[in-house]
Amino acid sequence: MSRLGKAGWALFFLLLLVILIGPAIAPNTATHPVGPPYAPPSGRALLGTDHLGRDMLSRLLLGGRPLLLTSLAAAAAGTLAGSLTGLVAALSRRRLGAWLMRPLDAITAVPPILLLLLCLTALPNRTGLVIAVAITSAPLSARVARSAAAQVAGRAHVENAIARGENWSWLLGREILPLVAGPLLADFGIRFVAAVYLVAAAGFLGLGASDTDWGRLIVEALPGAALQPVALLAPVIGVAFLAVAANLASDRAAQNSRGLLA
Amino acid sequence: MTALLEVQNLRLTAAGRAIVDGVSFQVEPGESVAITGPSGAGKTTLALTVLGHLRDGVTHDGGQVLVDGRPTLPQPPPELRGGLVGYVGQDPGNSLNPYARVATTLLRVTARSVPRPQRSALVSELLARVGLPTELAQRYPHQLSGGQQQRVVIAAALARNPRLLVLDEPTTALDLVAKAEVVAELRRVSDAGISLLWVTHDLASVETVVDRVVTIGEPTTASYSHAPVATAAREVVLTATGVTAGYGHTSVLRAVDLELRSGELLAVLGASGVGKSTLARVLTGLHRPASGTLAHRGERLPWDVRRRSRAERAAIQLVGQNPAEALHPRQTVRTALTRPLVRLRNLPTAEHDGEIKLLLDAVQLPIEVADRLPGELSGGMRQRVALARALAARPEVIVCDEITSALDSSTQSAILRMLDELRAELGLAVVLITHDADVAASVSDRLLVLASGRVARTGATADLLPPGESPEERVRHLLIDHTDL
Repeated sequence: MSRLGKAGWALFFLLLLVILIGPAIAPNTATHPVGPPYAPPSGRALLGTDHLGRDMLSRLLLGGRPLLLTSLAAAAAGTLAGSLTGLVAALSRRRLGAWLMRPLDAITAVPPILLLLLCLTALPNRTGLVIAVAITSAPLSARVARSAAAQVAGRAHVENAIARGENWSWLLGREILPLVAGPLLADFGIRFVAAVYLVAAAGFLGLGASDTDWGRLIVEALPGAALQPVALLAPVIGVAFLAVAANLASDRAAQNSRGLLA
Repeated sequence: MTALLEVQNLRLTAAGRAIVDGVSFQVEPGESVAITGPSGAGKTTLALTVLGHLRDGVTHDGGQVLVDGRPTLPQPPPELRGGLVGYVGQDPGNSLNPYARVATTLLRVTARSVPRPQRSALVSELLARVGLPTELAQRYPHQLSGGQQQRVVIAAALARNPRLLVLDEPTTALDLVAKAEVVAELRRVSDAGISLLWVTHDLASVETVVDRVVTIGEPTTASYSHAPVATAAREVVLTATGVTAGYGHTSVLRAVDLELRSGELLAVLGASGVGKSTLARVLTGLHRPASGTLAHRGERLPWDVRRRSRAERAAIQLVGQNPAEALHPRQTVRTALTRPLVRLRNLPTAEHDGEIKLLLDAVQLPIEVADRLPGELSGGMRQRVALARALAARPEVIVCDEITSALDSSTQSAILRMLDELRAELGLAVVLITHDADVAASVSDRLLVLASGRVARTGATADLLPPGESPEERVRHLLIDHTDL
């Protein structure tokens, strides 16, 4: 394992741990004022306070889990739906494949933020957010899955399985998937990062996964950025770290997919 | 004068086992040397060390390779690869970039910038050196025949005027017309004073070109032929009439008729690109022809394998050309053999182990192979597993598409002998698709010669290829006679 890969895994797991147990170790509640507004970091509030004098560290710790879980759910749903469509399209005859892929291509043409706003207007809760992010990522996953699978779909052992009369679940799960798992895992990493950005963006627009969403923390800290830069930097760095760590971890998983699935 | 190439007591090991064990030989400037030996003897590994390349997992364990007096291991001198030494691999399809025109490929390998007005002249000159017309410069590799592709690869290897050309089985993947073409071209290269180091398992075709032969590993000489069985009395299992098939607007097969009796071996012979593989795919239901009918024991069969019933699917089995792709790299041999038992024969789980042992026995593999992955098996073993998988369906007809072309002569004759025994024991009918006239002559009962998508000749092998004459010569005549039809 390369040093960078190891560091990536370590960072990813540490971050995951902090985010998941964050709400339990937060020293204060999200709403209770602990000092004057925009107070710099001190013993009482390690990352200072926000515009209402609330503890930034606690808000950060409380907001991480909803962001992570929402992004994860959305990325998983999008990649799953997209990959499945892509794999079926790669294995089916050309015309059916086109029928499956064209509607997804149409979705790609709509800007993700517009889709997000549309979905959240119709369904203004976390489910709506997950659905919106999943819809934006599915077409891209489908394209990746389809082109990865197209390269193996013509192999002799796949044709042999078709000639043997194997059903779809064997063809997809046993013949194709083990050979394309690497690219699909790498793709999942990218979709997760994109989902984190979109969920944070939703928070920024006030439609976030929770009241302490990292995106929302960023927008709230913006007016006082000159007085209390830590309140702005902390959630920004948090989002960036999560994205970088997720990418390193997915690279690592892609390299290892041979060992994982053999 | 120093030798151009000197291999001194070279030892190469992989996974603790010696692959090349103390090989020494020399190649003088202008001399051509063949390296031969059974498959797995380390021929390719040895050839690659001349270019200073060790395959993954191979370690250099003593001795040295000197080209022009300079060692190539562990690092070759900078001007060696492509400059002093050119390389031509086995499969031209792998060597050429499918998205680059011939001219682009040739210009790129010259590794210098050529002013635009001189480019076409340079490309014509390079093509002329291997006897190809200038018109081919604007074509993509898929628009060339196998022989033309390999000649383009040779032209690319010659582009920087090397003194030594390393050839790794340059004719193995080619049909006999293309092979003659490439061998003639290489003879001209050799006559022009360029040394050849020619790795081959087929000594007969290179002996007119090389000056000397170096044998590595245990020498094996084996060939196989069988006594033809009388087939007139047997019943017809498969009849195809008027098969016309193609891809898009290009038609590959035109009105091909074929009849197969039980226990019979029908060899389908032809140059590459005449539609032999398409015929195999049509018969096994993987490619839908434009017209024609197929009947199995008098019953009409649907063309698409997905529409065939379980018994119909089991009755006709395909064994493909490429053993590397025939088996799923992540599935053990046991899985590969179990699936047909489940899907096509509906055999209860309790009987699987016994049946797998029988199948592996039939293809002469030990039972331990069952738990291995294809990557742990040699090409010949994988081909046997592919054959066992076809047998697992209890077929009446096996279509073998060039199953021996990627194998060395001893493995090839072992596989052919096995097919013959299976035929005798099980009454299996075999369609053996091959470009190798010797193979066709030695094992088939009947012969079907394809030329430009049509049946050029068909009849008993003994009539078309009488014993005593060189089958390769005879077939070339058959094919050439046909072209004016």
